[in-house]
Amino acid sequence: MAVVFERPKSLCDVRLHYCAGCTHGIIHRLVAEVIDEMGIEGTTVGVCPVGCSVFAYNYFNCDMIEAPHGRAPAVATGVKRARPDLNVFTYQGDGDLAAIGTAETVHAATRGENIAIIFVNNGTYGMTGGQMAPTTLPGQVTTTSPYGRNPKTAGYPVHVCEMLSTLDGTALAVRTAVDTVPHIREQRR
Amino acid sequence: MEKVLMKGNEALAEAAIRAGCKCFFGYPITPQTELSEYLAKQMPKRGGVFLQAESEVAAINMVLGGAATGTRVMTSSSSPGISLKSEGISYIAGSDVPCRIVNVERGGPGLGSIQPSQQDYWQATKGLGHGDFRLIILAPNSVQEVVNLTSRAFDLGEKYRMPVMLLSDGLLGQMMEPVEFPEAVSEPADQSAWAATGTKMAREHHIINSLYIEANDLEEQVVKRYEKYAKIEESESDAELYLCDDAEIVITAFGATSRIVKSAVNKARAEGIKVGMFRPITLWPFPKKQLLDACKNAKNVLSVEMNMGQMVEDVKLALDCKLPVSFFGRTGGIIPTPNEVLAEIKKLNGGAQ
Ligand SMILES: Cc1ncc(C[n+]2csc(CCOP(=O)(O)OP(=O)(O)O)c2C)c(N)n1
Repeated sequence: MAVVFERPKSLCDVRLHYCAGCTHGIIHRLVAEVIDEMGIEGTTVGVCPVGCSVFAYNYFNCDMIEAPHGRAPAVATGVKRARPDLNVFTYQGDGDLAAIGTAETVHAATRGENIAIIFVNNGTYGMTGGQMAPTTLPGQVTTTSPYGRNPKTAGYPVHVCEMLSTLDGTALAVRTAVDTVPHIREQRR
Repeated sequence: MEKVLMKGNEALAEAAIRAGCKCFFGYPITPQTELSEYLAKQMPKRGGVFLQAESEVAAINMVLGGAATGTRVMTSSSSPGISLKSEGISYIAGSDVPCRIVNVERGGPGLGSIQPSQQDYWQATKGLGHGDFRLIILAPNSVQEVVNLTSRAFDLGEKYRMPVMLLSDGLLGQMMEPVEFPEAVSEPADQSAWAATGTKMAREHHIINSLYIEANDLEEQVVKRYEKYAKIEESESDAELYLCDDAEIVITAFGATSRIVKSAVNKARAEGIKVGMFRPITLWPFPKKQLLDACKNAKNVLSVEMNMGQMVEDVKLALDCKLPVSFFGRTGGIIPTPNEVLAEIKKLNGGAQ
């Protein structure tokens, strides 16, 4: 019988802890498929954040480093500068990348660090239980914007891709959704 | 090798390169800036990396990343910058990754002053971040010792897989003294058993991590780390004893202050006062046994520091109420004079002025 569907080699054979309906699992798979396709698992170091995907170090088969909340781009910079021969990626949530880690993100981008940042925007702080994130939409109800995000007091969402694409050091900034199969296919490219 | 005249900060930078430091991540702050500037000039010419980070927070996390690959990396800062680094230091300690951190202390709290001070003794020995952990803290008192302790810091870090801090201050950083660089420097130890350098598809993946979601697992890790700390206390504590054999008064002082105290001790000895000096070179582990030895004939102990009385608490703990311990210090960037210290010695020696 022909095998039509397999776990990517760069993913460990373990049960993921993510909630039903969460897209972290899909995005892990996409990242792992790309690592497999490029044949770089043995030279890749991943940096996982504080957030729902904090346990990503147990899921990716490459060497992994767990970074403090928001600091993954700085940690990745350290790895890449010390060992330019390695392929380095970070995997970060919106609170991690666009709130507490804004400075690290912007400056890694403007320095043109040769790293890949996988940015997972779920519009909330997932791990701590659904608080308002920098990407929460106006009017969106979260546990810390119980009446809906009010731009007058809580400001507007940060447009991460637009912001980073103004920097000369950014090589590529793309945004896609992973809500439907066509979107997922598109993202893989 | 011949001696060269160098500023403490620059000598430290040169010693780091010679000790095999491959990456430096920093952020400008007085009074340590010459150290970064020296490395900015030298690293690119000598096969190393100099990177000015966007903040001390970023710099220490770059250190975490670089150190996680088993590379010799270093960062340096001064007091307010070290406060910002403490989050990263806690993660580095919790991930059992070796690295070197330099604090060229200045006055505090807050923005304080840019003058020399020793107000970060507590921070260095007890408060470098959240959680149960230690750093080895080395406190040189001359430009030559800054150089000597630099390669030792890398060796110790790798031997025990932990961060090591070199606690300097504005005085040591800025003053010029003749120094000699050792011919042979230590080779970086093999870190391949744990470092994140890519699996090469030839081994299990390495995980550099400080998270243990199961309380029992976390406790096990912390206890294991404390067993290591106990070994370090046993074998790595280091101190200088100066004229302590017959000393009835022992003055404890570390770093630059010990130079002033030594002058005061010499002056007092010339007047026939039996006084000596005990200088811890490792602030953690605090050299308790050596202190007890230094105080074997002492009736009084005096701690002299450039702060409001920080190390004096460790002196009291080590002496365990066996001797009266008093304190003299100046703070906020004021350097005590030998005559001020001499006056304190005379007070203890029967009060005669
Ligand atoms: C310094 C620090 N502040 C706060 C936290 C608590 N914390 C853990 S996860 C998290 C939010 C993560 O949200 P996000 O980055 O959007 O990722 P998600 O969980 O949604 O995937 C916060 C605030 C922490 N661990 N460290």
